[in-house]
Amino acid sequence: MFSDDTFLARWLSGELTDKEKQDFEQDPEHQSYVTLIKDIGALRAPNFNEVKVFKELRSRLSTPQEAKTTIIYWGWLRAIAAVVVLGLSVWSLYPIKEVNVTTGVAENKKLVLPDGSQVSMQGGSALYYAPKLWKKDRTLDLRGEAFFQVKPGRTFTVKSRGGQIEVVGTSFNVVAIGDALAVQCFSGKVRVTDASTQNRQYLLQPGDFVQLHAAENRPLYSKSTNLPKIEQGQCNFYVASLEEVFAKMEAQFNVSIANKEKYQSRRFTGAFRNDNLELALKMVCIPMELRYSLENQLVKIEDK
Amino acid sequence: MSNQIHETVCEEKTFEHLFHVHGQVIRNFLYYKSGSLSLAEDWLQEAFIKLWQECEKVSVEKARSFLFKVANNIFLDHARHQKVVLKFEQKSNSDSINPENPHFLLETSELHTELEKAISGLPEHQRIVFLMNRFDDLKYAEIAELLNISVKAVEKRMHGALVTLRQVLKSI
Repeated sequence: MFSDDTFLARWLSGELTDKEKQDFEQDPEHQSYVTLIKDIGALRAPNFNEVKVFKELRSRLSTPQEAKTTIIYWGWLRAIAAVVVLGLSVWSLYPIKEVNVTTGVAENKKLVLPDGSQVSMQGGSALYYAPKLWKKDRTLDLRGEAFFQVKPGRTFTVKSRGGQIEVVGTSFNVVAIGDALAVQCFSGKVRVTDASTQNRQYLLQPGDFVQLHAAENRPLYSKSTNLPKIEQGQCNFYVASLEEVFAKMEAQFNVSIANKEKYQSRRFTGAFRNDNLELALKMVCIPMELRYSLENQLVKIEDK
Repeated sequence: MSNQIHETVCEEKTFEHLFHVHGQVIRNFLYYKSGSLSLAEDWLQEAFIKLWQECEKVSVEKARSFLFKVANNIFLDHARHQKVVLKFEQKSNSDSINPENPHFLLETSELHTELEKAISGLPEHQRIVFLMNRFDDLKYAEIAELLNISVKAVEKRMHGALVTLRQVLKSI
C-alpha cells in the first residue's frame, strides 16, 4: 500500500507532500499508525543516573594504571635472569603452603582471611588459598557455597570449575557445584567470567544474579527484582536445577536423596532452611508439587 | 572565541560536559543493542575512558562520533548472541492515565508489556534506529552519521520497524 519503503519514516518526520499526506489520511490503516506512535510516545528508556555513572567513571579513571615498562640494561638483565632461575628452583623445593578449609555436612564455618575479608561457608564446601601469597594475590578456589565480604584492595578472585569471579571490595554469594556456578551480588561490583566460553563476562551490580552451567549454553542473567533475599540459615536458589537443590540438601543434612537425578531439568527458585530437614523438604516439595518420604536418613521424592 | 578552537577534550570541564551531553544517548544505544543496563553503563564508562586516553587526538566536535564508534566496538567485542529483552518506563507526565480506573491501568500495563515485547523482537538494525529516533529524539541525519549509514537506509529501517510493530500489535 505504500508508494516506497521510506514512506512511514517520512510521514513521521513530516516530510510527506500534501498530496501524499491527504491520501494516507484517507487510508483505513492510518489511524492504527497514529495510535502506535502515541502509545510509544508514552514510554521512555530506563532512567539514567548520570551523576552516579559519572562518579564511577571518575573513580575508574583515577585508579592507577598498570606499571609502565622500565628500561633495563642488558648487563642487569642477565643478573636478574639468574636470580629468577634460582628463585624458581627454591620455589619448587618449598611449595607454597595452601590452606584447605572444608565444612562437613550441615556445618557452617566463618573464617577471616589474612586481609580481614570474611567468608561464611555453607555445609559440604571446600576452600583453598595460600596465606603467604595473599598480600599479592587474593585468589582462592571454592567448591560448594560461600558468602563473601571483601575488604577493599587488590582484585579478589574466586575460582571454581564453572567460572571465575573478580571483585574489588564488595559482598556476594557463590554457589559452585560441579560445573554449575551461580553468583549473586549484594554490594559493589562483581565481574564473572564463564569458564566454558572464555570471553563471556558479566558485570554484576547490587541485586544482579548470574547462573552459568557448562552443559547449558544459555546462561541466566537477571536483574534481581524477584530474587529471594539471602538470609542467614537458609540455602537460596534462583532458577536452579532441582537436582542441584537436592544435592545441596544432601550435603547440608547428611542424608541421601534417592532419585534426585530425575529432577535435573526442573527449575526451582526459592530457599530452604538449613537447620530442619523436614521443613527444608516441605519448603521445596510443596511448591514443586512433589511428595517426599523420609526413612533412616534416606529420602525418596515422587511426583504427586 | 579563539579559545574555543583550542578547546581540547583533555580539559576536565570539557570532558564532564561531553559526558553530560552524550552520556545518556550512548548508554541508551548500548542498552538497545545489549538489553542489559549494567553492561550498557559499564561500556559507556569504558568508551569515555578511551576518550580520556586519546583526548589529545579527538576534537570536541568529533567526540560524539568517536564515542559511538568506540561504544560499538566494545559491544562487538562482548557480543553475546542472545535474545534482547528490553524494559521501558512509563513517562510520568502521560496525561491519558487515569489512576481512578483500575481496568484502564491494567490495559495500559498490558499494552506496555506488549510494546516492550514487540520492540525487543525487532531486528537489531531496525530496533536501534527506531528507538534512537523515538526515545532519544535524534533526527534521521544524526542517526545516519552516528551509525555510519545513509539517511535513506535510516528511513528504510524506520519504515520497516513501523510496519512490523503495527502487524505485531494489531492482534491485541
